[in-house]
Amino acid sequence: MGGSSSSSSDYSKEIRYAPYIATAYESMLNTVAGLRTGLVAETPYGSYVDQDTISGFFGAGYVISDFPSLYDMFGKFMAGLDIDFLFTEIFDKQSNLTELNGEVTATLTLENQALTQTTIPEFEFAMRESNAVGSSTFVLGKTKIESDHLKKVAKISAEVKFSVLANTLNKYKDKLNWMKEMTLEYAQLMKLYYLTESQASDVNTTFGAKEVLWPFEVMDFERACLGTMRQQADYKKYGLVRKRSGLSKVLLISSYTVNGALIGAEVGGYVGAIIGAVVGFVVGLAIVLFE
Amino acid sequence: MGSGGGGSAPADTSTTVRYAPYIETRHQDFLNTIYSKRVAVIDESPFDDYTDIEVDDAFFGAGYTIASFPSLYDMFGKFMAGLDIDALFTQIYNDTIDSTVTKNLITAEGALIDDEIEDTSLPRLQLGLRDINSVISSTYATGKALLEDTRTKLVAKFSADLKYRLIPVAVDRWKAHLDWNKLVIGTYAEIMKLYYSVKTDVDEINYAMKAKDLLWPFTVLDFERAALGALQGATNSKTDVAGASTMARVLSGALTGAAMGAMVGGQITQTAATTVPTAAGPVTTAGTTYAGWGAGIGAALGVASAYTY
Repeated sequence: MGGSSSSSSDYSKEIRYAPYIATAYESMLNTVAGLRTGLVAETPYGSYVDQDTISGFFGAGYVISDFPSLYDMFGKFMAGLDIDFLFTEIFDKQSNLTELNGEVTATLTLENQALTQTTIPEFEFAMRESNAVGSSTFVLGKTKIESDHLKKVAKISAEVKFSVLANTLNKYKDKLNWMKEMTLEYAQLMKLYYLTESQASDVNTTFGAKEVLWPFEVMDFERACLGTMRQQADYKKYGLVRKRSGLSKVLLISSYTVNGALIGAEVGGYVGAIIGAVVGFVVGLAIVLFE
Repeated sequence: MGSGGGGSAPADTSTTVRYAPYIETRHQDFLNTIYSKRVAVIDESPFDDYTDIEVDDAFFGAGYTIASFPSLYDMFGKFMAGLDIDALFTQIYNDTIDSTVTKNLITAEGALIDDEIEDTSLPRLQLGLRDINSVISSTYATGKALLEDTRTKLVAKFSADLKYRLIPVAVDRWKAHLDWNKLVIGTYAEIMKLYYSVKTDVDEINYAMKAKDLLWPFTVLDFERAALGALQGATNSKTDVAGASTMARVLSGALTGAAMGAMVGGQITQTAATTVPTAAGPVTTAGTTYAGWGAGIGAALGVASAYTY
């Protein structure tokens, strides 16, 4: 290996290798250089199209700030909601449903038909039989029939109207739950957007960087070939590396386990909870291992 | 590459390290190529076009910050701690029992009976009495009075029945109101938690992108540095970008943790009742669900995991 020569105070040291090594080394360097020339212009990332999350979430030309803010939605559907007014509105609407009035009217028609076709003729016939048609009893008897009829009318109407009370309350609660679910769903959408947008930005810029750095990636192999006869020194990148702590790992796995058990319990009771917990544990563990 | 001399040496010394010609030829060609590539891409940072992800506008609206809205403690004071629930009950009770809708219902019932008297019952009665020539008799007057009496009693009964049936409605409404206030606070807290979680992570992403953009020249030059020292064994073992990405991990941690938290939240519903046979007869108790507790624990763990990341 190597030779050296000297002249007064200047020294020159040339590094050489055994002929068979030099031959192979030269051949390899020439081959790599030839390949590099062709590959350096053939980036595989050129056809990558950036993921467009903005259009997917908001429509072309819109951004998230074009839509109501989360706090606006919360104010509109929850904190600023006049729930007493909401109840009154539902109560009023339920009590005056056209269907209810129609139901009362239809039942009344049937009642009146029964009265005129059966009850009153039977009463008059009975009074004629006893020769009491001209008496005051006949008048009072007819009045009694009409009075009973009115009671039936009131009963039918009340039954129909009372039946809406429970519906009013349920509808009121359903509407409150809906308002809350809508607000939370909006928050979920927003969270999904940030998650997706952040990851898409990361992927897009990563592919962009890979494309630009492609020639260097190709030549990095040639660099390694050039220095292959020397002991290689390590190079450490500077960056913003952040790693999950051990405590965080444990908590993450626990979180997935509990949530798995919760979902399982809702689907299949105790057995489902056990299965869900196991699945959750495995998922949490897998996430930690593959991070 | 040189090294100094000292002591009594009369002149400066220098040492030149040379390599076999075929190595120098290849190295020189390599350096020339990498130089030309460096010149071509050093100003072509792919992070230059990155636009910061906006958080505050989406959460609060343009021009607003979290400080523009009531604090969580204020909301808690307004909707829970400072709420006079007895006064609320009285208000809801009166609003339910003596509401305009209730009065309208009673009036409508009276009108319905009036209509039935005027349109059906009275004509029918009069028709029968005309037949027997008794329309001007005192009995007719008595008959009409009886119908009016019935009408008055029916309206009064309906009014009493309706109000009696509205009492449990008022109580249930009061309970729903209290539950709702609790949900408002819970949701407000969840939204706030989500904001801080998203803000923290998105800030980290935005700044990481900015750092990558600024460090881009060094990312490129690092290849040239390694190329220059290739024959001395310098390496560039990585091909990623200085200011390396932490996004995926951060997001999967904090945002997912918050996701679990935000899923939490009960509803205003009645729990299923269970009947247990006892010596004194079956006892029915309101059902209890532990789903909320499970979700809460899961959420707390998720958030703790994110914070300890």
